[in-house]
Amino acid sequence: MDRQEIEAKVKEFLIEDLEIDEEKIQPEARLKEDIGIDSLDFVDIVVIVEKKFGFKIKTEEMANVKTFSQFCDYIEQKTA
Amino acid sequence: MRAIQDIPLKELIPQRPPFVMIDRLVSSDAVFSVTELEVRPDNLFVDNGRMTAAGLVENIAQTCAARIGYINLNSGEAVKIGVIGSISNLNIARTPKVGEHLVTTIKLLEEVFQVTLVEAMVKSDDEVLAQCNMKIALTDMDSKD
Repeated sequence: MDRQEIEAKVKEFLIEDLEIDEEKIQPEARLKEDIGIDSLDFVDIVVIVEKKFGFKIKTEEMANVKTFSQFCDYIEQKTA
Repeated sequence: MRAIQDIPLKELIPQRPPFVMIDRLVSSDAVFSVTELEVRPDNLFVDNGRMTAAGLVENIAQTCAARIGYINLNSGEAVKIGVIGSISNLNIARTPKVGEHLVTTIKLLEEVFQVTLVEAMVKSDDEVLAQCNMKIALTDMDSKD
């Protein structure tokens, strides 16, 4: 899966499953402050990422993941 | 580790009568937890001889509470209070009548930080009455605070 596909899939589930407004999802948008993802949403993200990308997010690995772009970087690394 | 049947319900959950919506925790393992409830006429959520949908949701929430309480007690910790974070995919096929015996099963889907996501099913005589996904957010409050 290339980077573009990862971004498209992440964007798709943020919009469809978490009902995030599309315009909020920008590369440098911060997951919490700009996109509005909270700890309740994060549980869904863990479940969705496992289904769509085939790995389980480790919360300790998410410590430095702050933006949409960094989140896609993280998925790219894990699925490489 | 204490056996489930040796632990009084009031030690497992923070709710107190008349707001208790489970009779007992039957089993609890890493994935599944099961509770039972007989719908009695004096149940707070019984209206016109039937337990309301809100009662079924509370029954599911208290099943989650009992699971958390069981884990806390067996870890030597105080039982933490959880709150419902969200409910999704709720489907109530029918509400139970007084006298029905409910068996509620929750399946742990994910647990991240202080939030637990479960898939829940309430049955009566193997008939599915209600289903939903529920998120429970644990607070830092102990049930005895």
